[in-house]
Amino acid sequence: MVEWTDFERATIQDIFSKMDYESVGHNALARCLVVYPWTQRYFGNFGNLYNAAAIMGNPKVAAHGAVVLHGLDRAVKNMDNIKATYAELSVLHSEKLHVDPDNFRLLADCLTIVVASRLGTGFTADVQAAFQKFLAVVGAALRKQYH
Amino acid sequence: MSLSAKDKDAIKAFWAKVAPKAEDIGADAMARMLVVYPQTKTYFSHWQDLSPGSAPVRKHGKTVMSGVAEAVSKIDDLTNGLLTLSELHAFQLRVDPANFKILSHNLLVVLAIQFPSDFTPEVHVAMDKFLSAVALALSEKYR
Repeated sequence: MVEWTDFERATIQDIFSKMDYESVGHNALARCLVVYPWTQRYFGNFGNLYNAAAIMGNPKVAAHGAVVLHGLDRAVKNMDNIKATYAELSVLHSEKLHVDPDNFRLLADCLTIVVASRLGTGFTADVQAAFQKFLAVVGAALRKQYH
Repeated sequence: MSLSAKDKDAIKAFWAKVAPKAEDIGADAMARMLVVYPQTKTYFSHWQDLSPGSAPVRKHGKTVMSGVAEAVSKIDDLTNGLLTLSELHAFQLRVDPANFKILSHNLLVVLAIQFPSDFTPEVHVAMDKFLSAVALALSEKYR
């Protein structure tokens, strides 16, 4: 069982309650596709991903970024049971989407950077630690059903 | 994943904006690394104070950033340009090279905070490639 301090719980709830899911999701996913271009392998039917501008302007990327962020919401609302909460999604990512779990960390890093730029100096070292721990737990839960 | 001419231009242009704030950025990145990745503290057991903003953390952040600045000036041949620094890290400091990635990540986070509009995805990928190339050059003499 993951142990969360009061600070960590409060920090995660605070970050997500103020977040623009559509914008952050769009930017994080787009950044991931630009910075780690091999991740584009999962989005063959997204159309034009030819360069950074095309990726940023691609409506399918924007839509999917929002889907991913809303998916994170489940963990935000079930912090004491993330593993069980994501069991189905883990099977989906493994059996159907065939996503290399290493990509969860790549997207998490991009998400951290987007949230950091939005929160500015409010994204202190302690807040960063809580946020990265949360994303690491989510990543581990998504990995759980891989075999 | 070597640096293209476009990458180098982006890095040099962005670095011109970073350079005046280099000390603060270095200090912040170091502080974050020690807090978010506590295993990195094992390299600094000789410091009295490992808290963010402490004198040794600030001083070391400055040292690291001048190393990065040197790397920018030698961007066309990092392996040879950073040989002395590689020897330092390999033979004296013996920092596990996995930690270069960790510090790089924290540098990128600080850059995103300090330059919310300049740190575009294109600049981000160029800087990430650059820091990876620097890490590789620093690892050159390890074995």
